[in-house]
Amino acid sequence: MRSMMLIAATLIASAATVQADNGLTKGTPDLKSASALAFGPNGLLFIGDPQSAAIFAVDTGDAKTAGDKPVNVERVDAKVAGLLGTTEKDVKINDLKVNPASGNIYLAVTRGTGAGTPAIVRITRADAVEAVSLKDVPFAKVTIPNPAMGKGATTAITNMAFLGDKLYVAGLSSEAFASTLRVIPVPFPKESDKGTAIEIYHGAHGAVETRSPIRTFAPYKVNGEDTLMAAYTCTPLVKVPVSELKPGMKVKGTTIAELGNRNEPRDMIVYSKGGKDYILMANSTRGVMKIPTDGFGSAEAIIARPATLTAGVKYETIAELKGVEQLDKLDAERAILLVKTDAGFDLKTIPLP
Amino acid sequence: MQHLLVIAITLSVLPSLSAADPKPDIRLVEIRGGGRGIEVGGDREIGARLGAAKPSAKEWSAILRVVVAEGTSEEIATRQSVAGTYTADGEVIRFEPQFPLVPGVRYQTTFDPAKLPGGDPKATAVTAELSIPKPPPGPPISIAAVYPSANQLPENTLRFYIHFSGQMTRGDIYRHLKLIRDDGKEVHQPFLELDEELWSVDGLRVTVFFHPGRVKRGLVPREEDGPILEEGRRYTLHIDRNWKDAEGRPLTAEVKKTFSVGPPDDEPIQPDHWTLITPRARSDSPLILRLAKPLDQALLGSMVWVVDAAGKRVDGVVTVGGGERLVTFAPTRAWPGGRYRLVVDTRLEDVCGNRVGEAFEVDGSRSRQGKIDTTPVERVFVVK
Repeated sequence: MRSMMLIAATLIASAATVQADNGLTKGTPDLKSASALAFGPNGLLFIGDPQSAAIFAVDTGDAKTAGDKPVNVERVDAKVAGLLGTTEKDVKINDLKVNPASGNIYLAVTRGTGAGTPAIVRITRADAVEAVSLKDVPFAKVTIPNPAMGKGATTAITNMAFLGDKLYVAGLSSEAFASTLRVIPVPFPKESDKGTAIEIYHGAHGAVETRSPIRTFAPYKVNGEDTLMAAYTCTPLVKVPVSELKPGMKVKGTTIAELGNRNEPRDMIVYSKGGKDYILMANSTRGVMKIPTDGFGSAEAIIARPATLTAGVKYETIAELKGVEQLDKLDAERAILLVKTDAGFDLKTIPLP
Repeated sequence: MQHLLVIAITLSVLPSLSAADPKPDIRLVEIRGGGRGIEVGGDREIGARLGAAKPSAKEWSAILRVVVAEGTSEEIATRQSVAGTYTADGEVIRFEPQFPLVPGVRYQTTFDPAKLPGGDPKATAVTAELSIPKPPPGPPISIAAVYPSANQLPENTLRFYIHFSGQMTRGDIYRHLKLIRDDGKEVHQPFLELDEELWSVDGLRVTVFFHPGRVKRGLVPREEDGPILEEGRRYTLHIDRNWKDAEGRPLTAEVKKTFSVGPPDDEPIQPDHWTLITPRARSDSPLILRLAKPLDQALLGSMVWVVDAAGKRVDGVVTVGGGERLVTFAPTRAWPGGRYRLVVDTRLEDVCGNRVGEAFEVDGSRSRQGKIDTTPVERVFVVK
């Protein structure tokens, strides 16, 4: 009996170290920070960890639909602080993403002062606020080396998106001022991504081009071609064909709109309504913009300095949406917003405009 | 459970059970793997009753509710419970928080025996307020350095690095920075305000970029809001003393960096223009590089190195000084005589973001497409 138990224990131990088909291994990811999130299929959560210059893929096990109730949580920051055993001033919500497999909402949170420690928080469709346990979960890790950068350099991971079988990661270096975009195959390669980042240039003014960092982006098909729609500081909207995004290459993006000065784009999603596609983009000072995409394919590249503040593809500003810091599609008809108020932060469900 | 060390706590037990019942004891305990948990003891039957009942997470948090005790009593009463796991063993119920309890934060723990399986509905809840004492803070934090260190900067300077002697609060850094022109006028929003805040891995350095739209000529932001720096004028960067460190204390002193502004620099870095002062063979003197212009302090530390004739990297330490115009490479061992190469990564930047062989702003009529050329630039030198 004793020997049988020993055999059973050995089998279990070895099973835990064998990689499953999805490339995940059971264990506890050594997450040091969490700045950006993205979802793959079946509740697979990607967590951008700039402090350890790595991306983690974690199987949340959250792959069954959690219902279709709207989610409205007042003072979600206070709830998250309470859950994490700290005070509101010591939590920062860095990103919000809806798990398309379940409809539950995930937050990337920093807890504590200084560098703080990371937490992933789930808000279920029944309004329960839960800390996602990362202990003994199926996961994979890929490092995003910055080999020539200094020991102190970090690459802030500003935005991630999963498309097809690849994860697209936009970063911002704390030393060089450049647009670094990495394309990481999923399942993650065994060897860390040694490839060079992609440099994206876009027309800035006159005949001059620049290599500014991408602030936010979303994948979208333009004329049937997979494209990243990327927004930059002050606020050019640039299209970059996915087929050109190969490691170690310089890529030229096409600026199709100038959306205004004194502005930082924060987050964007693509959605369909009434048979037409739109981008919904949250901004630091210019509110939430609804941008019809039907002109994207034929839009002329802006190469000369625009005479007006805004130029190119037209958009409308959704006046009633104020203080939107993060947004994601809750389902085909609704969006979930993280809204900054005088008191703190609220989660709000709205119909897609 | 005797092996558990009971920690010194601030404990105030509010309404207790009736005199006939043993008074439950709520206390902080050390838990396996470090950190603190919370235990309730005193009732010999607790473990057995709960072990059989296997309460759900929701039922557990009704039996033993742990919340942050900050704010009004109403806020505390409705606060989200702290995430963690519950176990019952022998005489005690134990709560192990998912995230470590924070020293200095007060936690209200309420044990409600009425919510126990088969519990007496008339039993009174017991509440205790617990906190882990904060360790004494380290020395106060000061600003150790600001780069670029020169007293004159080009009009299109791209960034500042601010170095601290310890950990700082994050999340609202731009509020503590002001740029004042020589006529006393504050420059409106000179910096790119990034939510991400670009802190180094050790947390001792933050990078602040000037707003690039106002650095580059001919862009709408610059035409609307004006340039940030203008050639011929003087400016002072004020770093507010009220920027709190991670302990919530202000900096030891405000820091002011005053500089004059020279013409813009749109020239790529040309390592060919550097002066190399070579060491003698068998000495451990450093290789000295006199740069043609100040370069980026942080990038110089990692983008310049030395290889020997066989292509093997020479161990040594790079030091940057002289207003970032002087770089020394001190070898770990004395130099054997021979040919060496100084290698410069083309991603090295000057203070304006110009790279080796490529200016910050590039001519769009030249194709930017193709492979990124990562071939470093080399200078050969001979140690005799």
